[in-house]
Amino acid sequence: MTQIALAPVEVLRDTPSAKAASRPVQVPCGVRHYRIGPVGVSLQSDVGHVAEAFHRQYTTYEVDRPALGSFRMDVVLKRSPRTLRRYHHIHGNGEELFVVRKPLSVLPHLEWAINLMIARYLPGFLELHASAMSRDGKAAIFPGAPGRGKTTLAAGLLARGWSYLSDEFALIDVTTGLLHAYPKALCIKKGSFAIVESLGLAVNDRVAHVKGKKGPVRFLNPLAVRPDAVSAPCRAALIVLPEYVPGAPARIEPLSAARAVFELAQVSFNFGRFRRRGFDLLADLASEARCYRLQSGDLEQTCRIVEQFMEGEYE
Amino acid sequence: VIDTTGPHASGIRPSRREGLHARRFDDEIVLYDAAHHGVHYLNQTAAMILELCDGTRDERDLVNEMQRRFGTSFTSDQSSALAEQVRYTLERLTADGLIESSRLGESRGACSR
Repeated sequence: MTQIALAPVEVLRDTPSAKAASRPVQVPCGVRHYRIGPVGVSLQSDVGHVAEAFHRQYTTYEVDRPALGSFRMDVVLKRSPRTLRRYHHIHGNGEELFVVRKPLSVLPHLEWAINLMIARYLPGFLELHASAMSRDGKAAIFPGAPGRGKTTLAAGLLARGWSYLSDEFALIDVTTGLLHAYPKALCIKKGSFAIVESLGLAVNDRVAHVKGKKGPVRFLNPLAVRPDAVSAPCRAALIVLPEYVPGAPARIEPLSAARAVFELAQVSFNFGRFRRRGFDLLADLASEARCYRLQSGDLEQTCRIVEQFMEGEYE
Repeated sequence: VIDTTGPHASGIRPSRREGLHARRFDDEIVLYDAAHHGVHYLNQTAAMILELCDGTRDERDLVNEMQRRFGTSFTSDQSSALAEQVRYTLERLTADGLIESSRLGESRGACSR
């Protein structure tokens, strides 16, 4: 008798929401301007230590005048009329995005607010929630929800000589299909402090900041690791969906290109803006790259496997 | 024996809805639904069933055509399992708005590529 192998039916659906259109930017004087990859930021802060800490992280990217389409970020200190406590109000293009009380929470929330502005308004790029690194002119994308180990993996590869694109956004130029760097400081969570230090990577501040429910975080400037650490635009050769599982042995599963397109659409911040063009971009991306799922509890082992993926040793 | 009491039995012939943009990768398909702005992934079995939904086949025809494509004889149990798979898939594809049901002579629609 012949065995008939039928794969269980899988029909998956994802419906991303459309995002709002861009807002105009007003830039008064007394602000500091930065151009971090394709992202322009003009920052004014009532709180000196926040402006200084931000400037320390992005000194290299300071520019004289605001780039076209810069995001205007304001940190305003206000006293609550009810409790008389002072709160930090973080605005992006005039919209209040976060209100935080503790001074050590301001910088991470300012970074978070900039991320929100990028996800909503940055034109010209299809954005994936992913870390991205490159080596020898070829990029690897690590998409995934928070807690999957994207940033720690990026730090691990950075320590092994890879070039940095981002720990939060894979920015795909919708015209060329190339990945562009958004070289923000890596936001390291408490669970990875020890491992990042063991890699010999120096975090910016000895005092941990606090990022809401994510808890204590520290920032790692990639340019402090190597002056040439930021990657030039490049094409993706590898897509790996990482999952950090403490203590788990490495588990590798090839991912079909069709399934990869579905997974990438799910983690796109602005798929709704590009519609069919975005779909075609993701399909082209997945068809040109090797795609895997990788579950691991060990950073060193994960980095080695990723390098083997990149060399095509798992084909 | 195939039960013909399901929603796609009795002469109802499902067809792919218009406005679906499909990309095939080996035996799998990923679809972009422009009208509802959704992305759908179909594995090998579901992709085969969707492609057979051209408005000319009812549920029983789909099962028979899949058996023919597998190119081997099916036992009664295997036929029942296949019929169950086809029915489940048609229900999912209908729920996700990827196919429409029409009676003979009303066939319409195709994937764009």
